[in-house]
Amino acid sequence: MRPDGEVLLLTPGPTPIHPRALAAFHWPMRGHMDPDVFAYNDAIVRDLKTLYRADDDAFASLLSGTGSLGMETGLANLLEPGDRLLVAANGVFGERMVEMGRRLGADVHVVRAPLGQPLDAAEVVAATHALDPKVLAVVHGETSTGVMNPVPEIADGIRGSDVLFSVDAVTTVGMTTFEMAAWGIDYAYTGSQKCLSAPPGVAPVVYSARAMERIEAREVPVASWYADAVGMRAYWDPDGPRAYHHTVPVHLHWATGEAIRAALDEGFAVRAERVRRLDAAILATLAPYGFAAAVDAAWRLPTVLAVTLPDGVDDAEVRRAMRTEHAVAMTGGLGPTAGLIWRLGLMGENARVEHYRRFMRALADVLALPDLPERFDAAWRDAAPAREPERADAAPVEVAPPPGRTA
Amino acid sequence: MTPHDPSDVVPEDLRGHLPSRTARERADAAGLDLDRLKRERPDEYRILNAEELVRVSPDLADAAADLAWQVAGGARIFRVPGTPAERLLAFPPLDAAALAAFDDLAADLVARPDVGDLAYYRTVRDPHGERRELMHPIAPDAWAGEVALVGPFDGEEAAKAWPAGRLPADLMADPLPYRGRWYCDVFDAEEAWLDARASGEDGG
Repeated sequence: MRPDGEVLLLTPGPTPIHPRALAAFHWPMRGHMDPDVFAYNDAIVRDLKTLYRADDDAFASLLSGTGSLGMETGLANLLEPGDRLLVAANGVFGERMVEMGRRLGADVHVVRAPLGQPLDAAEVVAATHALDPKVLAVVHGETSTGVMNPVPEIADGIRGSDVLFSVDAVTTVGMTTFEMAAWGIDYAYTGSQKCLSAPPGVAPVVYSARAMERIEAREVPVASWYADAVGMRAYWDPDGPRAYHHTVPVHLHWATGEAIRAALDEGFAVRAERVRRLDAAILATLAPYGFAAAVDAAWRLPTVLAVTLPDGVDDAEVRRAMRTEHAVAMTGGLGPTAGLIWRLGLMGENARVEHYRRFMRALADVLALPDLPERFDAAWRDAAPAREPERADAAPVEVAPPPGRTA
Repeated sequence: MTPHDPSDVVPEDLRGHLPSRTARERADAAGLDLDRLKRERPDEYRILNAEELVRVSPDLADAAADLAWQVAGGARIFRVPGTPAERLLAFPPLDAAALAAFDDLAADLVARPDVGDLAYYRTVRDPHGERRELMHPIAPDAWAGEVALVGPFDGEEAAKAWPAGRLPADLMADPLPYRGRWYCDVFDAEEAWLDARASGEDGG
């Protein structure tokens, strides 16, 4: 049965599909070994390195699966049975890495922080030096709680060590600062449906040259043939043999490639400003009614706004009404925060003011708060950056009159 | 009697000048004393009291300044660097008659074939106010997601078709004829919404 009508996705992934990505689904079909596909894949490789700000000698590709495959693939390639894995965890996705590491037969150690709190960088660094793991795995933005972890600080603390640094960039890359090379990251991944606003189904991943050297030097083959980075590189590397590996989802490549290109065209500063302004406007609108940011501003993940609910708001009932009566999809809390918070997506195409205007109109109806849309409009205007701010280095300079004309 | 302090001399063009309301607000925000600024740093005083005259592509700034001096010979013109547009500020601000004369001269300038094929002049009025633009349009291939006049296109249909699939949701575009050629005017969707609100329409 075909789903009827449009639903506005304000969830922390999947997000509304970018028009350029959607348009790519109407491109003509090609085989996975077609020269057009290889040419387009080459562009994706270049754009991914720009997106992640990775070194030129990094290996970038799309995996045929979601961000969770990106997570598992990294661990499967970087770890051999018995290798030590240190996971720094403060939410569902950190714990998922713990589980994956155990299933891969790694010697798993965990540094935890309470839910809703960021990882303690000093503690993670100290544990890394004490345990000397082969891999340190960290989630940059913990989607389950809306917390941004201090990846740059952790990177500083382990710089120069042999530890391979794996970072889950699922809710950050493409929308917030992410510096793969400068932070010394060896493996990073995201999902196409998050900050890039392509459909779910592929995981853009990047390995550092050091990571690939370590993978090539493995004693035991990667347990997952499908996820083997060396096999994938033979297909993806523009200078490689273009060897068949598996039948890649060509249209997902095109859609994700277009979404990446759209993000790069728009620019990170513009994307970050969209998020900042919406975050400020949403919180200012809802605060008088008892909603509040669930996460301290100092470590709030910009792309997932977690808000606590005031007394009297029935989480499940409101979200049901939003979905069934207004076609607005929202996400609640996970685990201990279930029923207590909403997680509003500010990733890619869901960070658009027109979407949150619709959200406010719907919420006004469901909660019988008719002032919400008007308040949001005012808050949105208040959150505007100073129009055309004059930078300190852009001081006005007088134009010298030509000879014979005095000013 | 104390020795004469050279900095205590108010330049001739600022003697008796009353700061504008905007200048007072800017000075208050920055913690500046306008009387002291007038004596000690007169150019900063002039900039605080200047008003935007026109936005220009950087290589057109000198031409625009020259037009300003033709209609207001005593004006001081300041460039505020920016990309893709610089702003030219005028002190004292041009009065209505001088602005009308400036508009005429700028229209004459872009009517010249050697300039008009490369630049446009227009006055934009939107909910943020009024601004003048003497700028180069951006070629469709060079457009990188900014608010701009994009073109020229081969015709109206090409200008209408160009935005499809290119614009993010916060931008809108209208085809626009200019001097016999077709362009696409890419603008902030927020402005359109504010416009609709101002005219009592439902912008949602």
